[in-house]
Amino acid sequence: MSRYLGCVILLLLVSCSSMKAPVPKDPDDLADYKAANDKYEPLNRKMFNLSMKVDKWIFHPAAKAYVWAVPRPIRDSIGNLIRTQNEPSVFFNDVAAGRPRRAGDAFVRWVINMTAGIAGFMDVAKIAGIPHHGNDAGLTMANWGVPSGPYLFLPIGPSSFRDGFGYAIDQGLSPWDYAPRGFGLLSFNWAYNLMGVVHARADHLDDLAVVERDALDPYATIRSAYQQERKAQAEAIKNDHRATVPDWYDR
Amino acid sequence: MIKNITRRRALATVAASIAGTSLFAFDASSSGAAGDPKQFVDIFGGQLETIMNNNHSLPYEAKKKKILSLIDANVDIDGIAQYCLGRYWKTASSDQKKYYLKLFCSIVRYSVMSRLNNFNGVHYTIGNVQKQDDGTDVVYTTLSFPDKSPVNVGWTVGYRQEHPQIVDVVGGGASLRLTQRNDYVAFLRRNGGDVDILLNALSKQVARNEGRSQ
Repeated sequence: MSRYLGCVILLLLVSCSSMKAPVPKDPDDLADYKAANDKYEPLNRKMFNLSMKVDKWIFHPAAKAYVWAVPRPIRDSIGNLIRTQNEPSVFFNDVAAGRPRRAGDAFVRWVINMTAGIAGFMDVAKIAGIPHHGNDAGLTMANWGVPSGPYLFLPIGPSSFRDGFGYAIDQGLSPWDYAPRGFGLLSFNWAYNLMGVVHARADHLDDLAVVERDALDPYATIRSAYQQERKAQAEAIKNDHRATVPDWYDR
Repeated sequence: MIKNITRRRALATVAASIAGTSLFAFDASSSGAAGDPKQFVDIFGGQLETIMNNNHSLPYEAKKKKILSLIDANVDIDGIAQYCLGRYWKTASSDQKKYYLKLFCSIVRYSVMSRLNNFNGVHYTIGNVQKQDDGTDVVYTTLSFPDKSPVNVGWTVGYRQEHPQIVDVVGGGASLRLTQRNDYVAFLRRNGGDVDILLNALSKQVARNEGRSQ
């Protein structure tokens, strides 16, 4: 028994070591390695290749069919619905990040769009001068000073240790996740989640095609773009020092 | 799963910014705007609008020619190319550097030309200027389209030559040249740092682009 256990542990250790990129000894290579922040590059690349296969055979065709079958105004409405349903998560993260103005904007957006926007199908709040802003638990933790940790390519897409953990937290912030059974709302939750994935893919059919076509290393391109964008988003939240009460309130 | 939409959208937004705004990186004109980055980008924006929105008296081929000449005059393509090769620029031979610059320039031009039609009806507004630690300035603009959401783009103005030139485009928080550099450096690292392999891959890309253009 102990021999078998030892074999299992050994296999695990070997597989773990193959998941990590070896630390280079050359100073220039080491600088590139540290800049990339991708300790688990071998594993990440495997996940990336798998995701690309799944995308090629499932999401890409689904997105193309969606664009072909659904007129643009309806697709825009679906996009508005998805954004509105995400506002509670944005609100809670803005509060946790200590950004009351942003939290207020998210709250007002949700109220306006759920009412005047007919359950979120119309982005009336944007017309009223309150555009959508994103936030998630990963960015909230970044705001607290939590480092991102190594890059990870998860089945949900590019991420990091911090952002992956944040994603798990965000799952708990969607009101649909608390829908009681038997009301059909759970089915709706699944349906609109899947619709959201297809919709997001459809929004960027050409852009990702360009990356896949023109990048010599699409994995590294996406990694770089993701890391830069997350850093910029975190800085934008940190640098948002707008007054909590909007100007129009005092008039 | 809906949250991954935000992440995927974020990523794709970046890709969109990179792919969709590369045209603007290479359409600047610096006529009479030496020294002032905001004025330089403002003039560029004005010339860009004029060319892109002139569908009546300017045929497509003439548009292409004008834009390419603006690129040559106002974008530091060689400087961007050198940056994108990173530390491998120092180890490349002079023949390799020459060939690389030629290929890079061809790729940039194709990248711009292939997206020309995406920018019909574009208008821009100038924002603020941010000084960078490396001596460049980033001029922020908002590009408005008739059928798409506005895009915020930062134009990095460098002063390697005597007059200001565009050296980078920042969209969605991502730097175009930094992303490109990470692409090339990662490719070179996986191919033993052999610049000839990179040149071979780039020449194949140029050949594919030429095939698509015909």
